[in-house]
Amino acid sequence: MNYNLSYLREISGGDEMFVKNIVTEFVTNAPKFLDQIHLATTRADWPLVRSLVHQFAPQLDFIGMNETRFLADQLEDLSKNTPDHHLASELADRILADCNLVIENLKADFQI
Amino acid sequence: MKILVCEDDAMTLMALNHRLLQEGYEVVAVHDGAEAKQKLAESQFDLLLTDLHMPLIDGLELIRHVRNDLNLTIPIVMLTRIGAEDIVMKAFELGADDYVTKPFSPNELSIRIKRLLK
Repeated sequence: MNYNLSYLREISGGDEMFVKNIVTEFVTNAPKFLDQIHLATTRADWPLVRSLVHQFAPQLDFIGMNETRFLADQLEDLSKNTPDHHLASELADRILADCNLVIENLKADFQI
Repeated sequence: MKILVCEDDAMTLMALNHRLLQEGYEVVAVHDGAEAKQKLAESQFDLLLTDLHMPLIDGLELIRHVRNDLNLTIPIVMLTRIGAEDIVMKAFELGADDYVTKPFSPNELSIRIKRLLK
């Protein structure tokens, strides 16, 4: 699992400071969202899971984590009803693991 | 040209703000519909760019407010996720002019805004 900043660079118009600002925003804020998603999934609070994933998922587009975005969309869809807890937890765990790995890579690559 | 941008996702708002400033627009960026209503009451804008899915006052209510309460004819561009056709249709019925799907293409956004501001 890695990231792809080509979309972010397209938006930036060549402004690397903007790219770093967005990456910093992700590295700073994603862990809070991920903790909340993990907790809400553990508690089977599906309306909250859905709301949190909906808020968090656009960040994955900017960081170019397309596979993880797909998992997040799946979790959001599942959470519309009462999903299989094991399946939802598995999706949440995969999203968490992917993001944690990418956060560490971004921190190293951008010296954040 | 002055654009009011209303988007609850901080990263998307940063990206829209950055892109529109680079294109030479004056940008007022707000995080929710209530703040957008306040800015509309305080100042004049040439275009409104708004997300549809927002907590409290959503994009549909904001469009209704602009068209019905304020009687403004400024162009309105919606931001929405792919697959949200129902809400897009409602927004068009309320008076929105165009829409861009997220994640937005910077070039597409630029062209759509320029076309409406001609």
